[in-house]
Amino acid sequence: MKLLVVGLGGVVGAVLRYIISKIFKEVMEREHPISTLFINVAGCFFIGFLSSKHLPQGYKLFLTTGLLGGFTTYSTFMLETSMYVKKSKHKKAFVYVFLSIVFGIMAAGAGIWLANAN
Amino acid sequence: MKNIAAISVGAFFGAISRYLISQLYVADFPIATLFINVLGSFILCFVAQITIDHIKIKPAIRHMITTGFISSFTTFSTFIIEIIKLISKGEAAKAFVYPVLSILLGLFAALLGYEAAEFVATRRQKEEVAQEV
Repeated sequence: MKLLVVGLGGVVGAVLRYIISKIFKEVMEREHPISTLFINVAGCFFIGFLSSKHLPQGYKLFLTTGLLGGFTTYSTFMLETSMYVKKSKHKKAFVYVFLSIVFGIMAAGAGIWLANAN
Repeated sequence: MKNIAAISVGAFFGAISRYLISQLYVADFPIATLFINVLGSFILCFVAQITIDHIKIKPAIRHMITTGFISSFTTFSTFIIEIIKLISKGEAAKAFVYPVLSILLGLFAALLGYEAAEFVATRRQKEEVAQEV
């Protein structure tokens, strides 16, 4: 039962990620890491918020482990970073990694703050 | 629509695999997420490289593996929340080492993924040539 809940959450998260990245591709007319950055930072905000809320375990598994775990992605983040490294764009690789982690921590912090403020 | 169905199937099993691995090993250092993210980075780059240049598969199948399974298997949000948990526990050294290791090993795994794809592809080509001769 737990596995089903996590799996279904992952499906919702991945489909949302796919739709958002398609929208970014339409707007920017090409694939760009800003799409992954947006998805990952947004996911961090929500996981920060939810981790500070007391929810039944089933909800937590669905929303955090499943949905947000599946929505955000580390492998695409690394693929994009390694592309920069392969093209010798080391500065871009560094900036991308730095912004992802710093904005990610700030967004999660904002989520935690908002959850505790209510 | 076909892509969304394919992604859903992949994501379902990707999330479950991540959950199962995270239950296997619970420690005061987030080794499970580190393992998952590094392994996923390797597999994604391997699959991306080998399907672009060497092995043709249907776009829906490719989406099922990459956008679905592997992207859902790896996670950025858990990675960040684990850093915050280490900071709030006062584990400053671990809170620094964890992201540094994740990035360095993840990047290494990604680059290794491309190399492994090239290695496999070259061997396949050699075998094909040998068969023709």
